[in-house]
Amino acid sequence: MEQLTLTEKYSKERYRKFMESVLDEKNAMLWPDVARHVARLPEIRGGGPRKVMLVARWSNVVRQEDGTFARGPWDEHVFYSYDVKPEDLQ
Amino acid sequence: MTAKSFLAAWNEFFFADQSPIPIALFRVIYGVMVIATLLLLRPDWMAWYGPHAWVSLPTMQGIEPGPRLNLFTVLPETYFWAQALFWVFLASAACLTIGFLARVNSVVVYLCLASIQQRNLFILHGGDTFLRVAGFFLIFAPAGAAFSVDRLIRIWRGREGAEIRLRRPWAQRMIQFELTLVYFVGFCWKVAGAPWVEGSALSYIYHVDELQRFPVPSWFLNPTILKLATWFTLVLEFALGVLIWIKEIRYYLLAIGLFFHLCLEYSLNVPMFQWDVLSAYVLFIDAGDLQRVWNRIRDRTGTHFGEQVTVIYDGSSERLRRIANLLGAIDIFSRLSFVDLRDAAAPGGARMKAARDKLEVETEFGPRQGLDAVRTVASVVPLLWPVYLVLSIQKLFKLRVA
Repeated sequence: MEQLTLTEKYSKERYRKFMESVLDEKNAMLWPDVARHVARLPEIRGGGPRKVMLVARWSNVVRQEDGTFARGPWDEHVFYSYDVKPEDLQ
Repeated sequence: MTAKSFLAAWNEFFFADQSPIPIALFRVIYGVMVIATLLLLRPDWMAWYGPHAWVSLPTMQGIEPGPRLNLFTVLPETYFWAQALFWVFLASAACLTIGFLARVNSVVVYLCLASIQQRNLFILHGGDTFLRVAGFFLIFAPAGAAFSVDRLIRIWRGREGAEIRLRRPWAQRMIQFELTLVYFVGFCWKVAGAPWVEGSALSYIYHVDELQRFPVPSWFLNPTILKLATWFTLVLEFALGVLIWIKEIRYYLLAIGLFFHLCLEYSLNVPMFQWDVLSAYVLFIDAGDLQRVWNRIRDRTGTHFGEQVTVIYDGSSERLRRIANLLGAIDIFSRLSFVDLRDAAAPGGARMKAARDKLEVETEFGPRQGLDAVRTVASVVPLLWPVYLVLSIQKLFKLRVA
């Protein structure tokens, strides 16, 4: 989101909201659909994807000793891996 | 308070007739909110609601089992039908905004809104939910009673006069309750969380880059200021959820609420949320006060639309009386004055004869009739400017041909 222009950010905010839900383990039933959708994206489908991995990338907002807040270092982990089937790309 | 007086107060609150102007104005703003939401969704419509959307229909039905108000479950799952739903939804929202078949379109808008929300629950914010619930009550409200094409049609058909009839406000009250619940429930959730109580909640929010919109002044990010702002948010949400029903302080609270939401709209990237919530503020404004504000705006701006024009008509003619009523309803800036030839003060004699079948318009260059009269009237009534444009082009074309 930070890399989008102001206008793009406004119209694409629902993606941020959606990803917030996707990252929640309670919504794990969404992960296969999301992986299939990613595999079908035109720029990815052309490359014949065989596996889609969903990666969470985050950085904690940490309270400093002086009472201010700052972002901590970035971290990431693969939270879901999906083997693409031929019918997914139909 | 006795049970009897409570019942009387309850009935008075929900069912005593009142002006439908606030709910009609809300309908217009609501329609604009729905249209804006749709246009923002347009580039990604297929990604959210198409046959190969991010979340498939079976997955969504698995998450939300049982019967749901969702047109996607009855329509064929194709690109064509997903597109068709968008255009029907948009057209219906536009009709609702202008108040054309307001009741029917409020039902269609509600059905479409409920459907897209049910199709993907994971991209919604509180403003979307508010629109859906308000849309449900709008179906039962006299939303087309004013500022609507429906009203103009009723006037033209002689079913309604210049006066706007009073209506029962129960549906408006339900939307008002919905708004206060948004605030009160928000308050209850927040006070249950430690960051809001200890005052650090906004510090976290204003450090999440994804949520930021325009830059805020550096002094605002001072921990003490953010702590005070966090607590102020709690107090304001409680006040807007509960104290707003106290008439004496209502307008102050609405003004603070407006400022609060505009600040959030500036600083945080939550598209449409603030506007969705603010749209219902108009329901808390007394119809008389809305009229007074409008009169002030009209008095200040009306003169810019040209000199007042006098329309002379014969009130004994049903057709002319309807036209005069129609023009009166369209003339929101009061640029027209009407003279009924039946009145004692009206000019008589030859003028009476001339205006028997047609409207006559008095201008500084003399009387006008027919298309010239329509053109003169349209030139000073902003809602008729498209007519003025067409007639002017036609006149110019005729002159050239001649």
